[in-house]
Amino acid sequence: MSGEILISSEKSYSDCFTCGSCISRCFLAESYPEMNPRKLVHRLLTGRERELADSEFIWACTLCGRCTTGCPKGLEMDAIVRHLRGIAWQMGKAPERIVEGVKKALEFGNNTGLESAAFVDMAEWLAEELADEMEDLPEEGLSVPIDKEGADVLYIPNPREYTSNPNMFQTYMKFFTYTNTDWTISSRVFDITNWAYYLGDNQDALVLVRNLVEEARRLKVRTLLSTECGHGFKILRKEAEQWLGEPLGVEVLSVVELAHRYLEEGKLPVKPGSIEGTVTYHDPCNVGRKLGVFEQPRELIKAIADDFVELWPNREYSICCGGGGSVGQNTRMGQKKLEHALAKHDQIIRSGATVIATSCQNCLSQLGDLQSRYDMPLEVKSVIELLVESIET
Amino acid sequence: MDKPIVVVGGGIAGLSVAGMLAGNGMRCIIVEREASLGGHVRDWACMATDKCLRCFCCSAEDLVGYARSSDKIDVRTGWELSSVSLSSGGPKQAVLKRIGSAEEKTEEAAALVIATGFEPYNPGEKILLGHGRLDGVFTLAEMDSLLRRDMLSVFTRGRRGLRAAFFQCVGSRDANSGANYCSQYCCKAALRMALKLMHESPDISVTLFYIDIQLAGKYAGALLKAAEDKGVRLQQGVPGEITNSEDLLEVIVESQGLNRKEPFDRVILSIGERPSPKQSVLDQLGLPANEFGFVSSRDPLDNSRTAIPGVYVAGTCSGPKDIETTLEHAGQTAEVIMADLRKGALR
Amino acid sequence: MILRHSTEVNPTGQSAETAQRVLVVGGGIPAVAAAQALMETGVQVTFARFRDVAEHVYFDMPAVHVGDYLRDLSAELDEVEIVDITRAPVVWRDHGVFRATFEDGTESAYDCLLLAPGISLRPIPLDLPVETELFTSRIKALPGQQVLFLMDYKELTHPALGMSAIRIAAETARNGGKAVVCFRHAPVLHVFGEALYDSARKDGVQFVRYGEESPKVQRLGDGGNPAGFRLAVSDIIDSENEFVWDCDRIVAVTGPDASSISEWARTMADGDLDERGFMLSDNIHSNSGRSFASGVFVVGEATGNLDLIGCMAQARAAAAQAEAWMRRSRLKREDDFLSVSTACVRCLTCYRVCPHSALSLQPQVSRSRIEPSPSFCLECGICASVCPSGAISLRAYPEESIAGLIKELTPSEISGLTFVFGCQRSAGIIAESIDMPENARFLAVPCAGSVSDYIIWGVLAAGARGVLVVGCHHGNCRSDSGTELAAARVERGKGLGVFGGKPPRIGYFTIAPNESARFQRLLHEFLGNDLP
Ligand SMILES: Cc1cc2nc3c(=O)[nH]c(=O)nc-3n(C[C@H](O)[C@H](O)[C@H](O)COP(=O)(O)OP(=O)(O)OC[C@H]3O[C@@H](n4cnc5c(N)ncnc54)[C@H](O)[C@@H]3O)c2cc1C
Ligand code: SF4
Ligand code: SF4
Ligand code: SF4
Ligand code: SF4
Ligand code: SF4
Ligand code: SF4
Repeated sequence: MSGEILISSEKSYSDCFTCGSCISRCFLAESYPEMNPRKLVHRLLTGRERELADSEFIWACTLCGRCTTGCPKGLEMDAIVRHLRGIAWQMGKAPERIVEGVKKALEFGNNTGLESAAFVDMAEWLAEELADEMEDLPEEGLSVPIDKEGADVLYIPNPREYTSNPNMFQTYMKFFTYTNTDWTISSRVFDITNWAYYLGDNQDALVLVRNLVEEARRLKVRTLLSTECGHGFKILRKEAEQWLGEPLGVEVLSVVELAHRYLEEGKLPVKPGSIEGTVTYHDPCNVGRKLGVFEQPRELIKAIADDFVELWPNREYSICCGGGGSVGQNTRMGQKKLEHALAKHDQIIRSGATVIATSCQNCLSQLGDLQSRYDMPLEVKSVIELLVESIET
Repeated sequence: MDKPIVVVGGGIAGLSVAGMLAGNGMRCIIVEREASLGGHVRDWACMATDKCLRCFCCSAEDLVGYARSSDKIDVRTGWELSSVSLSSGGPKQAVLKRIGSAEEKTEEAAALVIATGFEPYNPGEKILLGHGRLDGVFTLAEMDSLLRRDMLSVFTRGRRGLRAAFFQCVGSRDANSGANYCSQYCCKAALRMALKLMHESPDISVTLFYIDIQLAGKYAGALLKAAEDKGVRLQQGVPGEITNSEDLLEVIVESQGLNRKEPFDRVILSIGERPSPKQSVLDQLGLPANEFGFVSSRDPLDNSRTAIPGVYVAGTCSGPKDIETTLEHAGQTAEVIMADLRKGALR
Repeated sequence: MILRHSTEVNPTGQSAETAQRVLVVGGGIPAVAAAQALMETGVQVTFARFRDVAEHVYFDMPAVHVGDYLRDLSAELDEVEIVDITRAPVVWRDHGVFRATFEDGTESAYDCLLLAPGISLRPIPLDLPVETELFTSRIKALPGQQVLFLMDYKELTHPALGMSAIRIAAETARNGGKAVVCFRHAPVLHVFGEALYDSARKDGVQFVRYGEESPKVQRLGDGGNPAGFRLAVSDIIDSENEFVWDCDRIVAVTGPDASSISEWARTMADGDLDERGFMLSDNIHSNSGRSFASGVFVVGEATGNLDLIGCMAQARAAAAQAEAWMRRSRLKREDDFLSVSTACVRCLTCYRVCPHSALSLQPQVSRSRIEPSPSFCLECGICASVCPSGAISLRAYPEESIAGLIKELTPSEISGLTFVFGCQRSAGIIAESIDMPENARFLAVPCAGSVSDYIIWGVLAAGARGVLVVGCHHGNCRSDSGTELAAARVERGKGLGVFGGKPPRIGYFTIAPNESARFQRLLHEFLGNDLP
């Protein structure tokens, strides 16, 4: 069987000394009373990883990494679970939808299987529609710069923006327009997600990342700009260089960071206090805990909303929304992703917020589902969405 | 051999080195930056139930009494070591400085003993454990100091049937926060505290969450047995998070193979020993610290001498210890000082 | 066969009269370390060495080979008189010193005894297969083998042995073997213990943690030659799954066996043993090798300590303690604060109760005699408090000062007062730093056990409102039994009749010197005062 997985900087699962700290930090503890991160590591250590291939837990785990925050040995549970998923995948036990998605991503440059031409059509159509509806268009008008060489930023969307939620795509278009960003999108690679990463299929995960980086190099952009996405952004920022074994040669930024840069430079035409209600922010696990992007979104929100409250706990200890790590995309999980998210639900309700902002498509979708399922008295917004709203007030 | 031995730190370790040397006819100066002697033990309480549980905390009183009354020991409370001049054979002079003033005094020194002790771990950075945020979460140090002042009611608030939990290894055995070592004292201290609480309020129920129970020391096994007999529930695995609802503290633990949510009224964090904040004098002496920040000694079997001839260590400044081990270490330090001085005299 | 290889004792030229003389009896590293430490500080040392005191409880440490270490230490004993013995010398107390007669009939006097009797390891529990090996320092790495290290089985493993076993397990795993360590608690002694445990896991040692339920070990195959062993254990980290493993060898890791301590050592320390039979009581006054028997120090494995680092510290600390003790006792030898008068009726009560072996019985042809040794006496006053004939005079005995105090007071003053007799080591220290209530009069006594029935009754008979005796907590009495004595006397006092028309108010509690707040609460409760 496979040898020791080195997680990073020589930490390996054999470091676990069964302290138990991780158990209480996992939001799945009550939903899966018979499994927990410690037991998972222990099964791995006792050579029983193949048994785990049948465990639902490894697919319910959102790779959120919250258990890692309390681990004295810093065991990276997301890496361990991905390793286990890799075994399950090799045994043909991975969720079909995710496996399909990876195939499509490799073939079409996106996990929905949308053809390049169709994507370009759709993007242009969305831009036109937007132009019709927008009143105060800048003089240059509104267009989608496709494959524009030498643009400042290559924007990589999440498929959700051009499938289930085209408004989102338009929101980013507006954002670029209002901030005079010199942007482009690729007609070859237009998906920030990396479902191979979810599968523990490291080879394909590498191919998908390489595709993104090479596209940025081809288009000679300065910045590879991630949409509001968790794992995709995290892979680019944290993993890509190591996987590729060379410097990327391109700056990796998320759209939220770009907005924050504009805010600091005084180039963000938002209006203070323009967002009504009590606003809170959900730290997406990948963006927050794993990348440490905590303050930029908060400063952006505070620039437009007077009433900001924190969820407790937050930042590196933020509770996962429950939909990450492929759970949201995994049809086998069904409604469980909402049942597992009760801690998140309670935490939000306790905060008394009327708007919850976040900066990850996956969290947005999960929080939206959570809101409607439990009829929560609040709105779910992306940070950029709020900024655009503020600009438009 | 007229020159005194300068002992920096008037905790159990320093007092005990000085006491032993004075008992053997040698002159010592104890330099203690606080206003009183005794070090941390000054705040710890007696754990006796219907009998002494050998916490050793009251040994401080004996040692302080001896130091105060011995004409061989010169106690300088409110002073600290300002600088030391070294010759090849060891220290020559120690410059002492009165805290909060410019007053300085130079003392000839036959030897220098570093006994600057440890710092209790501040669990503030472990925000999910809620110390300082959640009512009902205490540290072992706070418990000790409440008991010492006979104020257990601050802990119980008059409630009966309290469910209390101890969390072991808080800030110890924690590579992530730079403390990949066991603090050596806290398993025993928590077991004693559990027995003490059950003695003082018999209706309390106690769960002790541990990683491993450390059984070093003469009495440790007996303590564990007494705790088991008294019905302390010993549960392997220490929760990493305390949540609260109303005034209940809730933790999730794995118990008998299942994750469960358990309610408690009080949680006591068994905080570890951390190295005393870095001393400028140690820098000046060029005394190396080990990877955790404790003063390095020569080797494990000769752990009272440092790399510098004539400079010695005693107690927790050289690594985490309980009082009994500290006393033994200090006794050894006194012994090797006497031996080294005699050898020097023979030379 | 006796070998005195050094006749020229004490080459530094101190005369035998003034040099401090210590007899070290025993063997092994702690004995050598203590002898060396004493020698280095100028003490005259005789080392009565048992050749066969077991070394197998100590393990090589990284960078230290224990055998070499012992040789190196022993090589430095150049100023020590070494006597190889096969039988312990006969030792008795005489005129404030120890006298020892060796097996060759020679006799010498010493100020102090330092014992290092050594110990054996607990045997392998009988329900394990007969092929099970006991973990000793002779067990080195077992390359290429599948080895089970079984810890905490039936009784908890000594942490120092546990650490050593983990190291050997790691070496086994590194050298192509496979090691499983089955335990309840991982021992992580010292500042480096955790790193050892970490590296063993990295080396591939597998740790299986069990709970209440003991592991089961079964012999595989049949006949005289087992084909191996099968371990089946419920692993508490994954309790639904039984951990089953087949191995070539089983090594049981135990701990010190109190019952193996030599009789001579128990006798020389006057039976000062703890609850489990290890040497030196569970009392904070017997730390660093100090025993209750005055002038007797015990170091090493017999104290229950199998940790080499700890034993080295203990041996050297005991040496320092012994030296300080000898200085004090020599001064006391000249002093006449303790004597037994001719009023003695030879009931021998004092001889039996003296906790510090300061009273000896001088058998004489006509009449035996109690001989006090001021050099051994800690002035607790217990002897004087039990003597039926008032034959013992001890300077520190509080009877006279109490009588004096009562004389100074008028009957009406006395009638409002409760007399509080507190041990000088606990209540006495507290009393120095607090204000005593007006209706109490505090008197520090050398030990709660010195407050005799006679004193209690006398004070009540003088008309006092009450008597309160405050001792140290049970198990923390420096004179071991003082607290129990005081408790019993107060109980008896409560059964006394009525003095002056009022039932006596008589009470007792125990306290530690760091319990000032509790002392004040209990004191005021007893006095019936409101707490200030
Ligand atoms: C909550 C808690 C409870 C404990 N309970 C127990 C128990 O029940 N039993 C037990 O055996 N152990 C217990 N311990 C451990 C015990 O406190 C230590 O073993 C003991 O205090 C060590 O003594 P020390 O002299 O080495 O250090 P310290 O007690 O830290 O003393 C060091 C002294 O040096 C002084 N100092 C420091 N730097 C300087 C300087 N530069 N110049 C001058 N002076 C300086 C300090 O002011 C202090 O007085 C407990 C520890 C904690 C944290
Ligand atoms: S990564 Fe998140 S979901 Fe997965 S085991 Fe850890 S805490 Fe649980
Ligand atoms: S927190 Fe880390 S070391 Fe502790 S049990 Fe979990 S994985 Fe193991
Ligand atoms: S050793 Fe501890 S428990 Fe015993 S009397 Fe002293 S303070 Fe109390
Ligand atoms: S003594 Fe016990 S509580 Fe303290 S660090 Fe060691 S194992 Fe943890
Ligand atoms: S005073 Fe105490 S130590 Fe001294 S002889 Fe009497 S009983 Fe023994
Ligand atoms: S108790 Fe008194 S009478 Fe009895 S032997 Fe001792 S001194 Fe003599």
